[in-house]
Amino acid sequence: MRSKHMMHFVVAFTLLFLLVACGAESDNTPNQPTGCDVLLNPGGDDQTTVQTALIETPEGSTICFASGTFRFAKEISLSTNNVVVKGAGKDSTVLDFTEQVDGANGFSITGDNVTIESLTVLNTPGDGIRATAIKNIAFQNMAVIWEAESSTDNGAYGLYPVESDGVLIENCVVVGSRDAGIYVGQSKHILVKDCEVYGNVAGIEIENSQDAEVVGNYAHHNTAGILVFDLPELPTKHGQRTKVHKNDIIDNNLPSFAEPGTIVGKVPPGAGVIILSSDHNEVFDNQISGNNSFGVMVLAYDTDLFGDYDDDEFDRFAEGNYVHGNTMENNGTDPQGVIKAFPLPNPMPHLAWGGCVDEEKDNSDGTLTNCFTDNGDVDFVNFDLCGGFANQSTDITELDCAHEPLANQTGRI
Amino acid sequence: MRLRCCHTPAWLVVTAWLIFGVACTESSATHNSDSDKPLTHLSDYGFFEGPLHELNPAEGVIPFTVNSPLWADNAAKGRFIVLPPGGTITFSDTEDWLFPLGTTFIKTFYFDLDKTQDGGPYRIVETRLLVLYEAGWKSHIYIWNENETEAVRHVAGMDVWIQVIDADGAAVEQRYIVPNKNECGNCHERDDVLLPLGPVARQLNSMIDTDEGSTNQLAVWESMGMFTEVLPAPDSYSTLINPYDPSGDLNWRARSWLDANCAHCHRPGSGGGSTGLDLRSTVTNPTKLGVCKTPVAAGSGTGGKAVDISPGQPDKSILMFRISTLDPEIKMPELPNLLVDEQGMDLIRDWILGMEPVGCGDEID
Repeated sequence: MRSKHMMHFVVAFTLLFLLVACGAESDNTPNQPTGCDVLLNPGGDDQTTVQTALIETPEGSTICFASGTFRFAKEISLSTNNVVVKGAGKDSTVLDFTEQVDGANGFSITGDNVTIESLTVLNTPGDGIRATAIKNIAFQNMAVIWEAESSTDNGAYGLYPVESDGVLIENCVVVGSRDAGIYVGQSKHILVKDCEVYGNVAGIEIENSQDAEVVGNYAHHNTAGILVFDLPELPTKHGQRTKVHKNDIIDNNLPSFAEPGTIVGKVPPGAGVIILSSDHNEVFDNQISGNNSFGVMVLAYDTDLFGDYDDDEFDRFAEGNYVHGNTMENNGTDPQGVIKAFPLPNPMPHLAWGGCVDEEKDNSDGTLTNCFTDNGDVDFVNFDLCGGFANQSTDITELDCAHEPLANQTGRI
Repeated sequence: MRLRCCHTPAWLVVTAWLIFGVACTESSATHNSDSDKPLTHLSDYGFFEGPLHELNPAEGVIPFTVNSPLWADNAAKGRFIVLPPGGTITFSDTEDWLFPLGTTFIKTFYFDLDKTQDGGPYRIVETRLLVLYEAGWKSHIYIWNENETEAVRHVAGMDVWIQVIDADGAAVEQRYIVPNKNECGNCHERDDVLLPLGPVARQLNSMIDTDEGSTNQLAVWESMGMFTEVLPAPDSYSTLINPYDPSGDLNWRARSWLDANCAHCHRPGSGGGSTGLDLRSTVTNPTKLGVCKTPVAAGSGTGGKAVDISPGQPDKSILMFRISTLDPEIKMPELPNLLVDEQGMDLIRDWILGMEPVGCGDEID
């Protein structure tokens, strides 16, 4: 028994040694990652080399990918805690999944305290990187790209953390996803910062999540820029407190290539920011322009629009949201999709509020009122969604109110 | 190329064990519970006597069957449990049995190479171990060599090509993906903890043939002294049935299939829990089962359909669509399967067809 154990150790250490040794040989190559415990080089049996390293490398390690293209036919996955996965830069290290035949994601992560940085994930048939139920997941200086423009073969989500606590997405690029480029679902303590998202159906979506900050991002040429949604029939409920500020949300008019039947498939092209059912969010100090359907819309979940649900705990009303101090130009000039199909103004105002109020709640202190304040001299409509669009109003004065500002987030717990 | 143990149902071996074995207190198999370092070769464990490919269980290595097996590209499976000396299982009539430290489950995957005849030949491809250490359950995968003389531990998975004569007599090549070690967690992980799936009451509560006639499998285990306490009557708790046996109740066959093939993920705490879909056989809320439930983050997985299950309308049901495809983005379950379970597909189709239509999901298509 003992000798066999020893053999195993020897094999494991030899493997690690070989991996490191391989890296050492290519240290003279320019633009390689530093601080590596393991350095992986492309060009061999990438699937086996990479997956073996992802499984066998101990906690606390930094696993590096040298510059070059790694090719995979199957999903790769990491379940170890406290690992940094690091490339030589998003323009240098490419994880190419073009030939993938198996696995719903390119890269699947289930370990806690994991950072993925400085690489590009390319052409996954499904989602780019999914991180499931993680404490502290970070994506930094990296990209998820589908090269085919608006292709129905592209995957749904680029960066896809779900059911996680502590989500940091910083300085990333996502292009071409069929649903949301950056999608944070059912998570808490989230920071999405300084990213660029374009050519996606939705640029950034925060769904059924709490305490998020979306700041300094550039969401352009998507079907919709930034979505803050709360949806029924999900285990994690009561999405609230997403702070959307200092983003440039520009020209999001891409014809939708979402799958019919998905919620995002119901989002019209030309949407700047949508708050659906979610509460106590703050949208301020953003540049929102050139979105043909509208600038910012706040609305309740409507079953005619989004489908029936069976969820007693779901609160379909959007309440206590605060949209203020945004710079808005040329939004709503050519409404698309349902905005065009429904009896709504055309051109559509910059700011739109569905007008559905839950009469059963006590709002005597005004905390549930959606406030639209100091957005410059832009037009507004309460489009009376719950009244069948019958009593629309352009009077914004009763919504000229304020809420307490939301806290910033670090994306760490 | 021959497999004497496991192509015949495991009860044959149960019979042999009952004849020659007496009590389950001693095991001649090598236990490894003092360390979570797995052995390199399957033969190192001493689970089997004689030529390895015969999978003749050593003393204390107990074969078992499950009511509703998980589909794995039409692989047949031989299952064994090894308890540590003196160790017993604390029973629950649902799941989450408590196993003694050192418990090992052994599952061997093999393929019928000639479907035009009964009884083989077979090719053994992989053996998976699930071992309970101090730190919890861990999985190890051993891939067999072509001569079936040994299986060696692999962590990164492997593609195996198998030459098969199909039911029409045509020679075809089947690609089978041995998963990597992390992928074990795709099914076996719940709330961040790896767990056994098959050894639960609803899967093991079945009649097996022994030399004493048809006997309840759990009663056999009980008679071997494998449980800590006296078991409740087998008819006092829920039991799955064989989904592929057309004589069974259609609804319960379908629920058994969904429980085995989907509910490891689609249940609270598991990978598919975030969808709100819960396909365990114990669930009674139709929405949690997917009836008229709108998808959440399905992407292309919707196939343009509006609800998971549209009663009476399998072609408008996302669930039907996703179990019928091999597209990696769409297929369910998210396993490395490269063949659709067509019998399972037909079963689910019949099940949905048999539901009273309520019109949900009609808005698209």
